[in-house]
Amino acid sequence: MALSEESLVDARDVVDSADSLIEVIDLHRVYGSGILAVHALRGVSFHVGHGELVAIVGPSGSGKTTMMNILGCLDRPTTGQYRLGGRDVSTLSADELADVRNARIGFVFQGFNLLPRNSAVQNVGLPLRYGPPLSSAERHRRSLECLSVVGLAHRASHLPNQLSGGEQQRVAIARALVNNPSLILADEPTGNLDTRRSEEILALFQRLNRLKGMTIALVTHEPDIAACCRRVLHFRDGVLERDEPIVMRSLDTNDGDAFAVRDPAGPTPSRGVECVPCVP
Amino acid sequence: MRSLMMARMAMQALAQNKLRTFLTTLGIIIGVASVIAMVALGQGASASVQARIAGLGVNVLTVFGGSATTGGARQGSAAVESLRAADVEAIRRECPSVRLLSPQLRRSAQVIAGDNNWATGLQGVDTAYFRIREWTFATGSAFEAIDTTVSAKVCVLGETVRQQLFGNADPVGAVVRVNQVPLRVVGVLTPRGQTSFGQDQDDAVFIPYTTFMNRLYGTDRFSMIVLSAVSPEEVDAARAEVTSLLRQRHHIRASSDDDFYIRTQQEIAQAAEQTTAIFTLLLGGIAAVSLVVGGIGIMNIMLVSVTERTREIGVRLAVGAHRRDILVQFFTEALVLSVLGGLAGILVGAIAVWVVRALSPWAPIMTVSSVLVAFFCASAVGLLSGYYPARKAAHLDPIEALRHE
Repeated sequence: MALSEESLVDARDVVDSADSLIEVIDLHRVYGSGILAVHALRGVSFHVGHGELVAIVGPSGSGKTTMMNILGCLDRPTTGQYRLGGRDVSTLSADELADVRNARIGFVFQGFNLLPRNSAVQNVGLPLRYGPPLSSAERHRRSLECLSVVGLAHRASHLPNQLSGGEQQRVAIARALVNNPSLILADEPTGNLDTRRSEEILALFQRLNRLKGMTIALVTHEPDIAACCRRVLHFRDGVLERDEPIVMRSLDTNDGDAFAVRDPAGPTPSRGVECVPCVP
Repeated sequence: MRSLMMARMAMQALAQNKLRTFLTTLGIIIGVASVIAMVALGQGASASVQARIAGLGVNVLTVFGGSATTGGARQGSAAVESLRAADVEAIRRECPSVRLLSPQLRRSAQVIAGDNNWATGLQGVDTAYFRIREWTFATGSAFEAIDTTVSAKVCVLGETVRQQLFGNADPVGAVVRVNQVPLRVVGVLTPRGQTSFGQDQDDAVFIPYTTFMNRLYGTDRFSMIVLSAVSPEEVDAARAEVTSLLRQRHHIRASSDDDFYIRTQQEIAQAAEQTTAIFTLLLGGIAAVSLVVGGIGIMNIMLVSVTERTREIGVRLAVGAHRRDILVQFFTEALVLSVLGGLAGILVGAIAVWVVRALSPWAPIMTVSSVLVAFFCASAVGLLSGYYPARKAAHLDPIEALRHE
């Protein structure tokens, strides 16, 4: 069963019951205190709507990593408000933040961060272990589904070191998808990959965004990568310097409404794999 | 429910790294096994010493002639033969708690049989002596009471003496000579082996004490009287009766020391018991050290594991693990390691005990209490050494942990 773009977006609007998925209002983040205080963010405000594909760019020290940590509920702002899906998460406890991360946010890291002694499907299922209780059969089913979305169902039982870099990152993306999050945060997701693999990963993000209405925020310092998004937030010296919509460089050559991931290592192209990841 | 899941993940992590799991538990295995084996050895040794002492007779008392002061220099015990035949008669008459008694005199002597001879301890005793010491005969029998009365020229040989003088022949009826006095052999004692102090009890020749005193050495005093109380419970009563009687007979004033002293087998048994208890404690203590070392091994590996898996912990926290989940996971790992080590240690310890029992004359005794104590110590050590690393893991900052190289 392939859902249309509209129905997915509609479903999300009901769930989130707010205009914007992300609302950041006058956010400050200060590390340390006194004369040693470092102002990583100095009053940042912006909104991100549902289904957007946003790049967060800036040189090192610009505050983009701090922004990313706060958006990912790994860190809390010193002052200001961060509302995710209409809910103020700036004042939640550590365990509440963990639950928000589990249910609403999917992380994709530069270094993949897969557990080395766990198979691909076990890695994908990891967030499910920290969510509401599910049977192991149900976890396995959902994890496999998400592996199909990224075209790696046939690699389910492989260990990370038996997979190529691009494949590992696709497993990580499947892990980010498994709890059907509102937001995918990708921190330099192509930093460890060559150009061809990078483009595969970016094409996958574009497809997830286009076909499933996934909201994706991508942190990068490469203009080439930012160019693959629809909107770019430029950070410099802890402030949002520029916020501009751009014309996306589309890498997603597949016009159909189904996912097809080019998989040179795989025996057959996994075109036409149905994917309804993780609708609760 | 959730903790159960975390515990299962801990088991998976251990199963995924079997070699390290084994090496980590090895410390605990050796610790528990050595505690069990050492305590079993100590208890076995203790039991065998107890059995030997019980063989000497737990209701036996020995009265030694007292020490004397000669020109300011105090002599050792039994330096003066303050005991006389009349004392023996008085004790026999007046001490109701004493059942049997026998004087005992000792001297080294050369015993000659045909063209063989052997230096041994010659002992002058009453026929009751063999019953007091509960000593049976391999062949022949003890000399009679009448032999004592008439200072008969008879003797009883210990097994060692028999072997030295007669080889494999039966010596009963044969004659041996000591100081030119011919003595007819009437019996051979069953071998007793060494005392717990390493003295060969079978290297002795026993003759009636009257023969010893009148025919061989011409003395009217003796250095020891061996007594048996009517029951082990009456040993203290017997001692009190004998003490007061001898003080009275020897005209000792209330302010003066005894000119004799009494030792009981119970005292020797207690001393030996204490020695073996200390021995057991010492062995157990040394083994316990290895248990602690095993615990430190677990803590060490868990700390290494936390450092090594910092990124993993970061990922788990990022995808929604609570701090408690991480704590439970790592704590369970440590607990499972120590419990597995404890169980394997019990098995190895039991095998070690079995091997020692099969290969040595000692019979180690494995007690349930030592097994339980070792196992619970191992678990406690595991809990203590697992808590700190688990806490450390749970309190990692997810951002730092994800950035960890």
